[in-house]
Amino acid sequence: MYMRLALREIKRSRKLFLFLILQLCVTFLAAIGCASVVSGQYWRYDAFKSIIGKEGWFVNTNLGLRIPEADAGTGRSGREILEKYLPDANIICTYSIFGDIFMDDAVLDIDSTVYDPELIDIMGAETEIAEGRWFAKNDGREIEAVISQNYYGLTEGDVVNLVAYAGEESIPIRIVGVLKEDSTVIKMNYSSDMVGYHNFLYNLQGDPGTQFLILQEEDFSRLAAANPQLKEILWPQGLLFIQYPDRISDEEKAGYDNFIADNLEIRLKETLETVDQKSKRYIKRQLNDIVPVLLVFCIMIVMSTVCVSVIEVRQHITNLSIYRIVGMSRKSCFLIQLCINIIILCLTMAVTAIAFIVMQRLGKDMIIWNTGILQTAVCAFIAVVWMILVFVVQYKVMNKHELWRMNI
Amino acid sequence: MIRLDNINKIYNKGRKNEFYALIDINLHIYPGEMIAVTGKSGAGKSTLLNILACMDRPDSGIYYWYDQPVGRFSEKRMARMRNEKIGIVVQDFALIEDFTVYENVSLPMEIAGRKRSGRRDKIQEVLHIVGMESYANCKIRELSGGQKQRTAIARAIINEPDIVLADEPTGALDSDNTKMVMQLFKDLNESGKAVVIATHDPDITKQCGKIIEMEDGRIRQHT
Repeated sequence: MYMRLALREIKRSRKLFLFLILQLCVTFLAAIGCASVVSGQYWRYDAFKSIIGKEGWFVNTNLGLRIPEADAGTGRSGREILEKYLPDANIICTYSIFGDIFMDDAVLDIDSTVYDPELIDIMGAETEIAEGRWFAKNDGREIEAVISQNYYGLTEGDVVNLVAYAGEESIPIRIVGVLKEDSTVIKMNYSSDMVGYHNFLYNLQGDPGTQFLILQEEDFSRLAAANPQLKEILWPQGLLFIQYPDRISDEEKAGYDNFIADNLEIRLKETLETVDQKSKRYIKRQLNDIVPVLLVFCIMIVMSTVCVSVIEVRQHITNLSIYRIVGMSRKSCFLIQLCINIIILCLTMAVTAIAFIVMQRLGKDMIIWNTGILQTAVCAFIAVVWMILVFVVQYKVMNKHELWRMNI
Repeated sequence: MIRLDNINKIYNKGRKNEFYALIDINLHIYPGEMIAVTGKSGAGKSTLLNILACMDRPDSGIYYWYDQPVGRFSEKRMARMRNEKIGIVVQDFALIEDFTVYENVSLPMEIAGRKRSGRRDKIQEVLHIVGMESYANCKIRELSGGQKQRTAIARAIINEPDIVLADEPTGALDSDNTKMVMQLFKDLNESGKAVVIATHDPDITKQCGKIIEMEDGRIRQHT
């Protein structure tokens, strides 16, 4: 009965309720946007947390490794040299290739980078594929690659060839996916607040001339058994994370530090601890810029909806008085009001969901809204705050009114 | 049926604008009585009816309903009294404009938890008594003042209350409708129900068996 009477009241003042629902809907969308920004920043940081959350160094080796004299001409790969001098450290890096990529007989002008599995995993969650797929478990005899949008017309299924500088053998590379135009890849991004996790992410949209070929180190390692030169042609360059073992002596650490200082052509070098701190500082600053504005916006709309709900309760207070005259208790009258608020909230959620879906479909690449636990929790929090605020204000209005007497 | 012992009601208690609406009211109402409560505006007529209707509680004194002190009743029980034992009619009709006549009359039964199928015959019967059976499906806003008041009376008696309380029931009606409504009250009274009417109108007062004249919150005269 309460629901039925509540629905009747809503039907009676439908224009006002529609306005109220739209106001709340805007609040929810703003809150979802706010939560999406927060979760987006945190999610990216969290992806790098397993790499930068340890003791060690981040090195941006723009010129690569300087091989110790004793290792020159030994046939060791760059990684093997690092592992020899930093035996207990965990190395995670990007590699350049000592070779050219050919399409037919022409050398491609393309930025080809090979990634360790940890970085491939992070990128896999970040990048969006326009055609084909991201890297999957590969047991085949081919090297796989994902390519950015390119003016060579290379697409999913095409095969290019890798020819090492020191060899003539042509190694086929099959393209399994094409990145979207605005994809984000892992590459040093020389921007503000160096060096935090955000400096490891590079959006291709800001650099449309660059063509990017992503390969995974796993493929090279797997095929190196049959073709040893595949391992030798990879050379650590770009991002290099050196994670020290959990229990490292001061002496050992000093030895590692000296090797890194002497043998890496360093453009940038920071301890992983500093990178982690700067990453957190970056997130905090980003949130400080965005969240207060959205928060004030949400509070203003919520307050506005509370005011509208007071107008709304005044509009149907006469009917509530009548319900009391014919035998309803005050509590029942408040229950009707509560039902009205619940229905409004449910309708708002439905409208918000529809608006969300429509916006996603219309401008998927432009909007910042995402769904997730945080977004749901924030909306639930706003809904609860709104319910409490509105009900308290309405309760006060109803108690002040002559509702409880016959002379309505 | 009803006994009021030294009832007092004070509005804005403890504030500058404190107002004694009822002072030491003692009153008996018996089944089958038809009572007019008269007095100037502010004399306390409506306050007295509010207390009789269990819409409000006195600040002191005891209200007995069949020897049970209403002061001890919970809000829920008082609501049930209004629903089952007391019919209320007010000057402005207190009808829900968007509902039909049928829906308005049905409301007390719905609140009492009567099933839809069980309501129909009773509503038709009551609408017949007040002469509104052909308007059952009309919206309230489509009715005249007299028709609205007859609908309000139908709603007041749908649950067969022991007493009908009417606050200025003819205040918004012309003379023909006033007669018609008063006739309905008399018919109800003849059927054994107590009727209490708060009114300024001397013609209505004359039609009641007992007159309570109020002044400044006190009962000045019983006749």
